[in-house]
Amino acid sequence: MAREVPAFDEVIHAPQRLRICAMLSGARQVEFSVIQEHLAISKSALSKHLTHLAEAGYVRQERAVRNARSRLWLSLTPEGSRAYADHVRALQAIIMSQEA
Amino acid sequence: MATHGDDLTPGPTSGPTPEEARELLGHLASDEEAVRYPPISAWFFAVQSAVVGALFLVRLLPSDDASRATLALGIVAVLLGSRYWFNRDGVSWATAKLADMVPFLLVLLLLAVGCLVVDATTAASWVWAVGAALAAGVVWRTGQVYRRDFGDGA
Repeated sequence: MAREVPAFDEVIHAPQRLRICAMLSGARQVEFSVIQEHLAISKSALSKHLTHLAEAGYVRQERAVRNARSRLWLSLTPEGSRAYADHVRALQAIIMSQEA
Repeated sequence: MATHGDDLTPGPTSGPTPEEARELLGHLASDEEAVRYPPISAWFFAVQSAVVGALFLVRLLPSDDASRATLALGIVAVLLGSRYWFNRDGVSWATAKLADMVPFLLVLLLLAVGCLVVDATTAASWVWAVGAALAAGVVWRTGQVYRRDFGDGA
């Protein structure tokens, strides 16, 4: 049965993108490989999700060289933080609607 | 959790059921915690408990020495916390939730204030030794709970 959805953001509604945002909300920056390892997905899949999030203005990507190795650091933009927080609130609202 | 792997299509337009929403929130909390609270080794908490205990014990030193020792111990605690928790490899400035830290910080604060009051009102400076043992115990116990909940980074 279809149900009304309170303010779901289509960009981060996909489970992997939502999980990427969840991880990024836990720190100022997280390295690409840390997210890839935690989510256990391919580099190309993660890159596609990040491109999607970056195009929406939700994720910032910065490349930095450390120990002669290029690393891709990711962070949520203020818009991305808001979108993720709103999405979590929408999920909580669904649970509360059942309890009410 | 149902993951879409390489699926880049938006999720279904009909929302999740309350049960699905609850499960999803649980997974998101777990993903956040993986960044906020990494597995940490027992030695880290052993050293931190020794440092915190020492922070109490230095109150038994003359004022100037106590200030210098407090600064040095504070730097050690901050550097260790930064290297093995907040700025570990692959993560920059992990953000522990204040609400999670409040009980721990509150207990240490109450211990310090209690020792200060007893020392000032009764001149029983030995109370700092008792406070040191209690504070070190609190840190060590917190570490045990932390490692049980978030893993041992051995």
